[in-house]
Amino acid sequence: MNHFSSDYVKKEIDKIDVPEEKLNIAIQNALECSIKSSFKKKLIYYSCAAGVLISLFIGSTFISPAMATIASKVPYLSQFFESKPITEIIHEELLDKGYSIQGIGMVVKRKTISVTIEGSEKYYKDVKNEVEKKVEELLKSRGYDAFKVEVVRYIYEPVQISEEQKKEEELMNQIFNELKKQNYNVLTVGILERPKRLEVDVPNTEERIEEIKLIISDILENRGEDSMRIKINQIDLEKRDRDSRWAQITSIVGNGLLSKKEFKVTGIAYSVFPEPELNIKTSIKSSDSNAKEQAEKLEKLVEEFLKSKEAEDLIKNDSYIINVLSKDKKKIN
Amino acid sequence: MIDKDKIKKAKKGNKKAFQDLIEGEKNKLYRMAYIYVKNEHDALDIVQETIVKAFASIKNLKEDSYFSTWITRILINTALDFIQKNKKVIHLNECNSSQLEQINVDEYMDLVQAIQKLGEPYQTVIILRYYKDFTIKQIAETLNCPEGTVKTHLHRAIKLLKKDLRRECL
Repeated sequence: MNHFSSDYVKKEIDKIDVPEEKLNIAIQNALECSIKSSFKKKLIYYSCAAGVLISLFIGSTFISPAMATIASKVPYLSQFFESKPITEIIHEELLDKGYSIQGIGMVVKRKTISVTIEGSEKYYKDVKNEVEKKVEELLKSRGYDAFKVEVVRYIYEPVQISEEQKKEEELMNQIFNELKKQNYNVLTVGILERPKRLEVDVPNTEERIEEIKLIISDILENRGEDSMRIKINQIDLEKRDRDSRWAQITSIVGNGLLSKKEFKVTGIAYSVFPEPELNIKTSIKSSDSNAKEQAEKLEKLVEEFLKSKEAEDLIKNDSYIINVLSKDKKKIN
Repeated sequence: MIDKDKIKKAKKGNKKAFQDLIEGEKNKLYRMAYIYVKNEHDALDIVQETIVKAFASIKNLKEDSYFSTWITRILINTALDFIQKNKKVIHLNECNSSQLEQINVDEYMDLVQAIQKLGEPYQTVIILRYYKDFTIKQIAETLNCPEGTVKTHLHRAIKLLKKDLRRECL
């Protein structure tokens, strides 16, 4: 018997079922995360975390006919400031109706609201359509017309913590506590792989770098981990603060602009160095006769919001640039 | 067979072209990942990570005709990393009785399960040699070890597989 002809092996392995739909989603996600690799690193983080960030920071709007008239007097985007995030609203509503929901996500790039159902295959099949309809209604009632709904099933898999991870955690805690005890100013302690190294973030006002290194290497030696390299990162807190403020601004503006088809916005990114810059990506063709007009309309919307009282705390005194980009990535405003 | 034009475009950062290239590879990538981790969820994660890495580094792809080989390498390394980090997923020498029963039920799983049971580095050399038709040299490059070692591993892997399969046939 020749079990090991490559034809036989191929035939057998090709019998492994491929969950096509999920595979396509995984590929899509990967490409969404990659696509911004030409921008600065920050932006990659933002684009991957966009769903999360958005649901963390921003509210969606409650637009009733009565509200609409008032809304026209305040900057459009300010509506997205105060109220609860749409994902949270959906979550509460579905829990309220008794569905077993694991989570709600927003995939910006695909313009999809993704609802994850927890439970048996049968339960999932039973409620999938109802949930989908419910969410669609909710979106519609709140003025979102740009998002599709997707319902998927969550499969629970317990995560086990290995001995090694436990040890690492202990080590990080020990270092953090020791440094704190001796009144050093530390922000975070982390262990990174390949090569295994210990990274400590301190504010750039902390100047006792060598002393900190010494304390850490003592601890490492005591625990027999002296092969681990130590790296101290000095963090400019002002820059970090600015970064986080602009991350919030970006998600507010992003949520507002992405919610409506008419804006033709496909994505939004920011950078804070050398000065804050918002890039609004659209599907507008730069060859369109009214491209400039559309772009300026968007710019005005954003500008109005950034100048509003609500945004004051987030902008502080930063000056900024707003770029509206066409489908072929040309600046059109 | 291989669309050089697409590879050229993908190297310049064209997402659509890259996606087309992946389209032809995705099922194989998934199946290989599945062999390592034995579950859908982790296999999808590995494929996703592979694609992120591949898209970020495709501009470094030297021989255009080796797209498939190249992305397979990324996948294998990603899968091996994953197993390293999540040691819980490998049960090298465990011979789980329920698993054996299952083998009898799903006849076609025989070989795949036998490969899964091999553990490292044997399963990798089998996958690369017989599923992806890598040469010994290419396997050696992928795993970063001498060609002689690859041959030894391959030899031993086949021996183990034959033994396992024969036992199950009885």
